[in-house]
Amino acid sequence: MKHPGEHQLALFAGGDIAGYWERWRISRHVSKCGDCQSEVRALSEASQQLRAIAPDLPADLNWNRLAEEMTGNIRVGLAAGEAIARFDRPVARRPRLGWNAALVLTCATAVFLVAFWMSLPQQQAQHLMAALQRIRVERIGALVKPAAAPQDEVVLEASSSSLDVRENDRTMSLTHPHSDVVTVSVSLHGSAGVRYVDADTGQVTTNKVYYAEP
Amino acid sequence: MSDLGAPSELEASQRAAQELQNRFVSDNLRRIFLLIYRIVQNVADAQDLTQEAFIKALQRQEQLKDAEKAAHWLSRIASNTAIDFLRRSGRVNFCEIDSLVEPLSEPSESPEQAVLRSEHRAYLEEGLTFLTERERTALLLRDVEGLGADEVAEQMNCSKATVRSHIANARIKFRRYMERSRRQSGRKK
Repeated sequence: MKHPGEHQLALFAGGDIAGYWERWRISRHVSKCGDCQSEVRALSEASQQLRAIAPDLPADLNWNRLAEEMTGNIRVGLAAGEAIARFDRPVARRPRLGWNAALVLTCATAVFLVAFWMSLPQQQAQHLMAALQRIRVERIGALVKPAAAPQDEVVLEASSSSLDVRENDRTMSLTHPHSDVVTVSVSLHGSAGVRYVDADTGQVTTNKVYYAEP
Repeated sequence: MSDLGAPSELEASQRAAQELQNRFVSDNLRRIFLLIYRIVQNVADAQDLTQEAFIKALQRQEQLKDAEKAAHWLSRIASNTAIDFLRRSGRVNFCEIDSLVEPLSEPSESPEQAVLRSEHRAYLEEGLTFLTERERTALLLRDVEGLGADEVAEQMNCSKATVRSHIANARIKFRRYMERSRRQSGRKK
């Protein structure tokens, strides 16, 4: 009859054999073998004795005094930990989200406008510039010199003194008498007009020029 | 009115937390000290490590709500603290604190019983010194603390097979030590 190894018996004594079949095999052997039974019993007893002294304090130790000392030290340690944590805690900063958000928004808008401008075909960009200038004229009542119109393009201009239609190098102007109140209007659909009060008659006069594609 | 009520509520909750802490320490101090002492085999080191383990545990007070889990969790912190200490120092320091030494008296035992029990304890503790640190730690966690082999392996940061080997070696050595002592005392008689 083959006996289990010493290690196997030591593990078996504490219920530490891994694997059901191995445990069953050793258990079966031990139940029939007197030598192995006494070995397992001795191993179990040794562990039991160790467990039995576990609650015992070392000889000649004044537990009450030691416990008091340890309890005090634990309190001091905790208090020191809290103090260090308070010292290390970062100071609360004033929220700067508003400024940051505004900055990010401004940058994003600038990037978007630049990208939009660069992605526009040249012709459309020039149209847009011209339209913006006309709007500005309408708002402030003074014409800023427009960008040079490309050849073959018809440009309508309205100012406080005249309505102009310009094509290539030719210009047709519809002038009106000077007036303190002149309203200039420009449409992106191809029209420009002025509205003013005639100083002589006191009547409101409207001049409008339309451009139609040939 | 609410201004008067708020500080007292705060004080009450702080007092309750303090009481919980004190109870947690007093309930577990002896058990944890002994666990660490059996691993490091030295009173002074066991005292320092016990304090360290409690401070670590109490700095995470949210874990204390369930007393049973908290005790188990504290054992893990304690054994890890002791194992880390052994790993760091690579040796066990045997110096004692003289000022703490005082005759032990247990009123429930007769003087003869106390002497016999003390001798038996010293004899078993001597047996533990024949084990390597890892064998001793594995044996104490498994047979005294009652942790499963898997848990011991996790705490000792090694494989289950290695831990089983440590446990088996420790049991065999300890059993041989007891057998040898019994034979020697038999011969003396």
